[in-house]
Amino acid sequence: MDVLQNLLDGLQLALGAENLLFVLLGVSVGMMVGVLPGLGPAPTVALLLPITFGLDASTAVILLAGVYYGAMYGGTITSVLLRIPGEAASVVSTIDGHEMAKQGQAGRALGLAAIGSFVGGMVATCCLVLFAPALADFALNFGSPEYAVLAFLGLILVAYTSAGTMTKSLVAVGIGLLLASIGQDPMSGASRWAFGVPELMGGIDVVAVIMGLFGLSEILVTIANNRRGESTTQHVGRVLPTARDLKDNAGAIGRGSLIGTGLGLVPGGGGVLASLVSYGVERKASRTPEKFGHGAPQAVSGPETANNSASISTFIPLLTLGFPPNGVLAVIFGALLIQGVTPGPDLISEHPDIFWGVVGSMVIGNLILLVMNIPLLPVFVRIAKIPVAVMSTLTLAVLIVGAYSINGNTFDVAVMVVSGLLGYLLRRIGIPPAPIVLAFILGPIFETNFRRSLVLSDGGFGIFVSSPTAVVLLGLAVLVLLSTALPKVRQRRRTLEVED
Amino acid sequence: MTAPADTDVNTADLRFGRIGFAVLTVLAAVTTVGAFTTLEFGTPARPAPGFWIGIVSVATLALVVTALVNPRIVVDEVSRITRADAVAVAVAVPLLALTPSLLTLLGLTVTTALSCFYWFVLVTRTSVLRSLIGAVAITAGIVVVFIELLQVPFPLGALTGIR
Repeated sequence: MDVLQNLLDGLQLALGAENLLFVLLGVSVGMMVGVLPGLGPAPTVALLLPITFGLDASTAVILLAGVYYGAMYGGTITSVLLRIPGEAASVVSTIDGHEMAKQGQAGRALGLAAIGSFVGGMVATCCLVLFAPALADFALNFGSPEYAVLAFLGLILVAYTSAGTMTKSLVAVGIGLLLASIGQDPMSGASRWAFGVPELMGGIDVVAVIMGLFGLSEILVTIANNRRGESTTQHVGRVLPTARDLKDNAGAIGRGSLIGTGLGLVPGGGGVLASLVSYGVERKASRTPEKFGHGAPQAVSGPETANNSASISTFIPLLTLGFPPNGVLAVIFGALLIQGVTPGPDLISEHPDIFWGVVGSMVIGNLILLVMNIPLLPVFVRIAKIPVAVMSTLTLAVLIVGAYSINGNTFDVAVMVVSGLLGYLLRRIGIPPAPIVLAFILGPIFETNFRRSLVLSDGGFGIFVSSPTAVVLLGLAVLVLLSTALPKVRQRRRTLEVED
Repeated sequence: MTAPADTDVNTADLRFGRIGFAVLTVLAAVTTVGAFTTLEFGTPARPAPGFWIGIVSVATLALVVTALVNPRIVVDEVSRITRADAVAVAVAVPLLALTPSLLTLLGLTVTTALSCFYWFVLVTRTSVLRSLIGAVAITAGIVVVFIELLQVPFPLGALTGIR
């Protein structure tokens, strides 16, 4: 009953004139971003941070969350019509979605994706309502050892699920942890790595780092590549799916909702992983797997449902444990910190307006997206053709102004620029930026709880396996590490046997 | 160093990746040495400010070296910087490096206009007329949103006297 009342309060908050406007703005910007190849949701959410400085905390998160799940809808459009994934989570839809477009069924693919995304979004929102408060209550019992082990597991999972080899992702985690250690020691207050620079004494601002690593490095990669896609289809066809379509795709949409909601909870998870897993599952579940790759509707509806539900369930670990599971949520974590709100187990009880307002906005936002998606399709296709020159220049201008706005000093602009150049160079050698940002955010939590645990146990490392929760979390981390290492050991042994 | 299973590794990618990881190795080594020589380490029971940094820097150094000596890891997801890439980024760097100082000297409006014009003309190679129109339009948008609507308190430029 409490939940229902809270949900109604949240809906009421989301339906307030200002919040409704920002839901609309968020999902519209998100859809545009999803449509534009190159500029993903993480850089855009980072770009919009300065706009949130003057807003209420709940309105700020409502805006940024709208951008995230809006991008999941928008990314499908260019994937299907132009075979350009506007957003990484829509890569899978370029295969069968574009094949459907070539067969004159683009509208059918987009319609199924929109309905699937709506269903997936609502399922994930229900899970957020049902499970987040319980998880937050559970997390309130966490002590320093549990938090330290949870941070360790989070970083291992982020490295495991990031693009490329795990070693490179772990290097990225190391870089993030080292960057986070600049400034005051969290326990003694002593200065570390400040080199006498007053601005470094308080540490590097996370928002400036995010803007650089995601935003600036992205436009540097874009201007260097400067690739543009060609439109290969003009005929969209019927958008609204038939009853038969809905019946044939109900299974894929249901499975996609569950896969997306589950994988959104995993640190490092989110839309990309969910859509890939969903595609694999649909292919296995299909009676006609040979149609996959040649325009199978379930290969579009399943993954698109999964990526949208994952984008919403990723909010559960952020709002209950204070752990951002991916880059976009890391930026939203930064936005809450700027507002003086620390995400964690106390958030739901201390700031119910933020939690339930965001939940309410997700219901409204998904409805808006479903309604907007179909009539505005031609407009979004046109947006996809904005020249790279205009987009990169506009992005640069917003980054400069945004970085300055964080604390009103040029030092943050310099941090943003250095982070951007560093991010560009690291990306070129295959080191992804997302684990750096997540480690940067989790670093102080990890260090403080790690050191505090050691002090409590008088230097005994056994404290990290002193409770069932810590044992389970540590066991999961070891399992993930072994699952990466063992196949390589076996392969190496096989190679040596062949050589002998 | 190259194992039989690594014969399909692209040599140019490998060279580029190795250069990158060699630089990272040097940086990680310097960080590790710096952590142990400039910060107090303490003991596990009384961890000092250098305790955490020491552990993380040693782990990072070990990972970077592991990557450096393993060709398959080095080349994974590597995207070589071509001559065209290098030129585009090299043209962008002076502007990026000067931006913090320009903001202090010229204020937000002039810096944004100049930065946009520079970026349009030199980085994206847009025609001068289009660049001028684009720079003015973007600057106007930025001024309206950030100065007029959001009232962000940008300081006056030391040389121009305008925000």
